[in-house]
Amino acid sequence: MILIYCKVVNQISNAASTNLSKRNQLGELEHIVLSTIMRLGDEAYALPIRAQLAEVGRSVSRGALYTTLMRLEKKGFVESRIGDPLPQRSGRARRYFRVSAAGIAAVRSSREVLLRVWGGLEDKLENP
Amino acid sequence: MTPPRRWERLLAWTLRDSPHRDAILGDLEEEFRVWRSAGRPKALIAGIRYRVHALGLAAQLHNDSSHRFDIPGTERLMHRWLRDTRYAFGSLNRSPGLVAMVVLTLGLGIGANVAIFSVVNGVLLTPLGFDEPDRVVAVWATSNEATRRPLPAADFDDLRMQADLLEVAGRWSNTGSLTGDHDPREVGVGWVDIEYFPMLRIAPLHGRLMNPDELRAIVLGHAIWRQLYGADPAIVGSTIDLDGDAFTVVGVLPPSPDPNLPSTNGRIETSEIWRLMPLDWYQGSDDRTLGWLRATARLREGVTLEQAQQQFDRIAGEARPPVADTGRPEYWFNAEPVLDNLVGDVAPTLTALAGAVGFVLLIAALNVAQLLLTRGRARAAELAVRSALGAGRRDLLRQLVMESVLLATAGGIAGALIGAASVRALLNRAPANLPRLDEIAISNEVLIFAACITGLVALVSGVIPALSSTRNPGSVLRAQSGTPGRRFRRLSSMLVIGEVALSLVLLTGAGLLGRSFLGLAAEAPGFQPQSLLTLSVTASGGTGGDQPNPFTPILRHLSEAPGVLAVGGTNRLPLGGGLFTGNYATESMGAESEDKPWVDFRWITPGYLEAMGTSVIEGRALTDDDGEDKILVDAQIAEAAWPGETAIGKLLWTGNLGRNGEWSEVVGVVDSMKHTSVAAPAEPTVFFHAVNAPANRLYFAIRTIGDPATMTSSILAELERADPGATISRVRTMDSLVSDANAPWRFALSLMAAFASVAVTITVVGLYGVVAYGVTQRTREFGIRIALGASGQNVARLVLSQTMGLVTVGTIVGVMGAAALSGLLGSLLFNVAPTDPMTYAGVAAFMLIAALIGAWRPTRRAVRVDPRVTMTGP
Repeated sequence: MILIYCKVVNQISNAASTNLSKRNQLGELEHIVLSTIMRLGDEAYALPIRAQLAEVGRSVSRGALYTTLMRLEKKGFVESRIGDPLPQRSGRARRYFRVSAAGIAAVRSSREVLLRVWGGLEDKLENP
Repeated sequence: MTPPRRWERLLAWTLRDSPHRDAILGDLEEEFRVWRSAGRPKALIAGIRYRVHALGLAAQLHNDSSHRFDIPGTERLMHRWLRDTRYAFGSLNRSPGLVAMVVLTLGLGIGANVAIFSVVNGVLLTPLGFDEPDRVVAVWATSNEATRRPLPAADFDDLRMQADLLEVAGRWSNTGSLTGDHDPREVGVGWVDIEYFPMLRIAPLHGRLMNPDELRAIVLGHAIWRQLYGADPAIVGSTIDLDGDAFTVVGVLPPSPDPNLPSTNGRIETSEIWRLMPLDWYQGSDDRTLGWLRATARLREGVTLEQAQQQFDRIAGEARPPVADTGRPEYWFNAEPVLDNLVGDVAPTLTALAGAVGFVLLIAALNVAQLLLTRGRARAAELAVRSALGAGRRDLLRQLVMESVLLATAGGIAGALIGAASVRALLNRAPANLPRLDEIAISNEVLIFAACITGLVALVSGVIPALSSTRNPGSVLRAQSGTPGRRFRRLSSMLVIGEVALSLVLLTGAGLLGRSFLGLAAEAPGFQPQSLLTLSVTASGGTGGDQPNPFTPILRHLSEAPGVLAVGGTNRLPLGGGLFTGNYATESMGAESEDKPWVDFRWITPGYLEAMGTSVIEGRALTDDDGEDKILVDAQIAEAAWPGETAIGKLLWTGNLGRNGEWSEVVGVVDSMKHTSVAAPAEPTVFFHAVNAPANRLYFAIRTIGDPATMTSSILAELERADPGATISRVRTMDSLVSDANAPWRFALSLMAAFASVAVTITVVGLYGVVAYGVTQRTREFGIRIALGASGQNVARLVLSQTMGLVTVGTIVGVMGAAALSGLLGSLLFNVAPTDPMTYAGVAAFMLIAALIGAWRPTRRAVRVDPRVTMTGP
């Protein structure tokens, strides 16, 4: 009885951990957003992030960007800090984002997967 | 500089539980300020962008709680609304083509309405700036022959002294030459009596009004004070030079209201500076023959227009006993509210245009309804699935209506922008004699109007298709496609018929106006406007007394100038405004007759008729040797006064300036000339010799060899040589005066033509869509028919007969509608009946051909259906 119970708990926790690991894989947009935050450095708040995304050809709606940022923060991939109140924002502060260690690790692993996937395809990808 | 607060609050409410709230609100505001700083016209756009983004964010980021029952109902409603908005945004995002089409269609429809409404609002609806403008009336002499005549001095004096139910004030206007530090400049001079400004309740902005008997005092109008004197208040008390005499500026008028009242025949005579009329011009006068004074009056407290009119009738009856056959005096006085006086002539035109543009909007709305109906049909499967998953009809309806609300709002915004741009274009094209042009602007009323029609459009174009699409959504899953349902087809047909009928009404309007315009262009005005230069000359020498007429040498010099065929002068050119009226009597009537007809008076120099190209029908033109006792009459007077006899050598009694009636000999009969409008019948006119012109100012008509515009500078140089001190102004070609006189028709025609072409384009595009959709739905059927041996011709006939059947019904309905409505064009129709069969046949044929072109491409597709492809299926 106890054995069975342990087995079930084990299975559930296993399932949970696979779920978690799946969540650790980055979606395409998440990947791009994280990379952009890294590129922007200390000045990474929503407006320059969105502008930068548009510049590299991945325009995204305001709402989608905020949703992604909130999700990344929840997952622990980004950390945010509140800046100083600014007059051009009626005294509201900017929220600056920084990629956490876990976030860098996620980008790195995601990059490795992609590089492996692309390996040997350079010829076809470069000259379609 | 702050963003729209209401939308900010909505977003803040949506994010009230989020730690990111302040950052998101701040981001949007920061960006809003960047949009705004891009410049003035962008400020409006920035506000719109902020609203759209705030709504989009709120819809996307709100924490949907519409399913929770532990929160207040209003909050649930708010959540549901945001959810519907998000859904609609998403669904529209997936069909950019449809959105572009709808926004363009509605933008055109709403934009045209916004533009026309801002004109109607500014001209007809905005009250005049006077204190209690409803109480101010224009007072005209009215006879059996004509309305809106100016008053003779004695009659004005009677009204002034006896009409105690009103405050009566008088005005006369001419032009004067203002000299000083600036270039000599011709200005409009308003001569008023002492009551004029107090009656209008206009107080000076600076200084004071004239005192009684202060004949050398000037009050400046606001515009000229800004233009010539740099808006310097210190001008009050200084001296200015008018026609060579020194005047003291005593005051400056405020920018509004405009004291230029009343208007004559819809034409405003704009005075820029104001002076007193000498009291002896009218006080105690016994001249009842020559009308020249414009009277305006204010009803006293508690007095109605009817009471005032009764008092006027009594005063008219005392001065002039009633004529036997009409029971009326020879003429009487007529009080007309001053706004009617100002805009009465254009009101029917504007009303007709407003009606037409309303039709354009209706067509646009029907077309959008058609598009959404088809889209709903194409989305039937999606709706069915959603319904099967538990969405009630009300949910589906709400979401579909939300889509059309968003679409209509986008269309409304596009419309407001198109409208604002069109108003500017309209103001550039509007006839210069359209009164109150400066009142036309995109005002708050206009924006409220735009919002209202946008809501109306959302209702018409959204609710009908939504109701139809959500009716029994499951059925589509049971039946495997096939032909559309009967209900859908009937609704779609009705929309097509409606669009065609409305377009046809507009086309008919444009057609009738087009024929009127052609008629006007072909109408002979009694003179030849081509190759004719006109200008106003103020001679340096004085007139009157024993001085020789200063114009005689100038005219002689000019007639010998190179390139000049003939030259003559007159006190007023045809179509150039101004009005002197008087009455005449023949020998058989006798000067004491009570029933002397009222006619126009003009003063001309001997070369004038030749220069104008007006033919002398009988007798001869005036010569330099003729005195004041020789006159010309036009064919209408000759016919009326001496029917069946020659007029030459007959004596005619007329009022004349400064003399209360005398006898003159008719030496010639001339062609009738159109003096006020090409469309109106020519006014009977008596021509006097301009030896005794009423001012030291004369209009010259100069017939040139070739294009008069290119000869302007050489003619001006000749004038300078003939009289170096003369002031020349109002240099115009006669062609352009004629063109101005026809401007109301051109304006109405170009707008009506624009509306009609927008309407027909929308209709044809809509028709194309309907036929194309129908063909797509019936591809399988056509495939079977072709496989069973139907020829291409058979299939084409099948498709076209249904479509053209609808179009024909629409055309018939449209013709009936046009016949019922075209009478509203009223005075705009010239030489064409409102039910002119030629026009109706023409526009009906045009409509059918346009519809055929629209239906042609999809029909060809039906004919080319490959039976093998359709039978094997996709």
